[in-house]
Amino acid sequence: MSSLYYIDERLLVEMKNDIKINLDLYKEDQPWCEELLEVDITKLEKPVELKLPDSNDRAAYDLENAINLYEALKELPYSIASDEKYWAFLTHTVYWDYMRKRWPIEESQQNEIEFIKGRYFFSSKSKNFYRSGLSRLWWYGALTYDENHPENPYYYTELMLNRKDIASLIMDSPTVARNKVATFAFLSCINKLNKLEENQEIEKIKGREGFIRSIMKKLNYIGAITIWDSLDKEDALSLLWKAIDKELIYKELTTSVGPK
Amino acid sequence: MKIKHRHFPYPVLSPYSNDIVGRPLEATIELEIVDRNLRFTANFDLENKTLRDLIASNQAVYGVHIECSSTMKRLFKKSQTAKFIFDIEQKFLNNQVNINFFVIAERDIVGYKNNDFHDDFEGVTFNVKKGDQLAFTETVKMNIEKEPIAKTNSIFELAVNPDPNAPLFAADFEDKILVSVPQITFDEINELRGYMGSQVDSLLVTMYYTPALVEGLYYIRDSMKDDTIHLIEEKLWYRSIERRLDQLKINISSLTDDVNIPDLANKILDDANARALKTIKLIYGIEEEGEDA
Repeated sequence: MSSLYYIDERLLVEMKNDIKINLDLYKEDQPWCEELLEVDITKLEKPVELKLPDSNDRAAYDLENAINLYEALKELPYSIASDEKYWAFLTHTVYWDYMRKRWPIEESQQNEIEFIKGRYFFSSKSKNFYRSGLSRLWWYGALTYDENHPENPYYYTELMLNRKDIASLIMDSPTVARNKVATFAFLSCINKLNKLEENQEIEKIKGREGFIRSIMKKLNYIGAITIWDSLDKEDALSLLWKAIDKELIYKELTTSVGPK
Repeated sequence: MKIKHRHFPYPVLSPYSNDIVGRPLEATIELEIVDRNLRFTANFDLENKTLRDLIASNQAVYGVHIECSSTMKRLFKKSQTAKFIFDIEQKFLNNQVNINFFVIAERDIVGYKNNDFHDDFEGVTFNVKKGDQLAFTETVKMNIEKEPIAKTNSIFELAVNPDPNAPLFAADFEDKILVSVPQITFDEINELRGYMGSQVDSLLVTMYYTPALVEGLYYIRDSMKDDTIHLIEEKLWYRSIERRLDQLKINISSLTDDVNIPDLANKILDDANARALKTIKLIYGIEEEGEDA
């Protein structure tokens, strides 16, 4: 694993306080913090090269970048991976180019200062490390990596990032995101649902977004009674699917694909 | 995961209800470090005969769920025996962990009934699914400290906010509580300390640390209400306050709206107001040093 660098805690607070003063610097293509952080950025080790998206699709390489970043920093302890000082150093130094391409301030649809706080640092309100522009990639990998998958340990990462709304839904539900058994069951159910729809085995789901949210609710309800962590993946999928299946309308009863 | 009082679709042996009468499930857990591993010894005390029979017939198991908010690791260990030992690598757990003890269904149980169901459920049976809770205890918190916790005063740090329009006071809750003041104020404080020495510290505590601590206590209270306490539980300042409250025989989870937060902050800081008054008396020569207040 590459060397670990941090922004000093006091400096971090100053940088966040000074966002307004430094606003124009955040629109520069070159990193501007070398002197402030007392580092030579050209001599810093970059954990892994990330693909730079263009303005047509800023999220185009999120999956690839998430896998590559997590693969490079797999040994990063969770305590560091949830530390703002660590990620803020990277966003302001070796990954400045990535940040400028993926999270350009010019395209923020909100207050620019809040945008910078949330993407280049951790949002001060929730300290949510899932939302920050760079740390989120690592967390996508960490929360969905399945070392026991026979073929592809990033199978669930792919399921999650194939649909951006699904990723946001999971990341915005920390109690689910932190529980791999529940997360995997949720993603597997969505995948199964997609396949049934693609194969036209069920009637098209009306109000799909609301339906997906209702699955998340079901997952939480079940978790109040059943200990998700005590189940294996197959049992967890079967349990959640049972709750979903009864709300689907199968086109022909004889082709029903619900769990036996 | 923190167990809260909730309603189940079937009777559960719990400390929060009498749906199943008799003594609720009890359990203890001990921790020792063996060969770089954390060795836990869980010990269940279950009086309910029906549940004991279910465990004996492999239809139910004892379970321990451990969740660490610092490392985000979740572990579930189960056993057919009431006392069992399991090892967890040290790197997986840090700071504070929540531990829950259960009896859970090991397989689907059709027609579950318990000899100690409350009379309301007489003659009623229930279908329980694999993984469902049959009994649980209150959540236990355990501190796994690899480093000593800081004393309360040392969780504060006075810093300069270089913004020309900086507010006169601002507190940021990082690992420590950073109290930011404008440059001119910071310089004045340093000048005063240079002139009067540490004598002035008790006044500075009252002026800057007490309000920051008050804000911190409200922050803790709000986080508990919002169920986001896991975001701050591993912070040095939080753990230090929690330990100080323990010394004061106050449970941090009892920071309800009824608690007088400014008064509590004063207590946490060793009666900072009284010490400040004493300092003022000393400065004005009203009281001699060493004299009892």
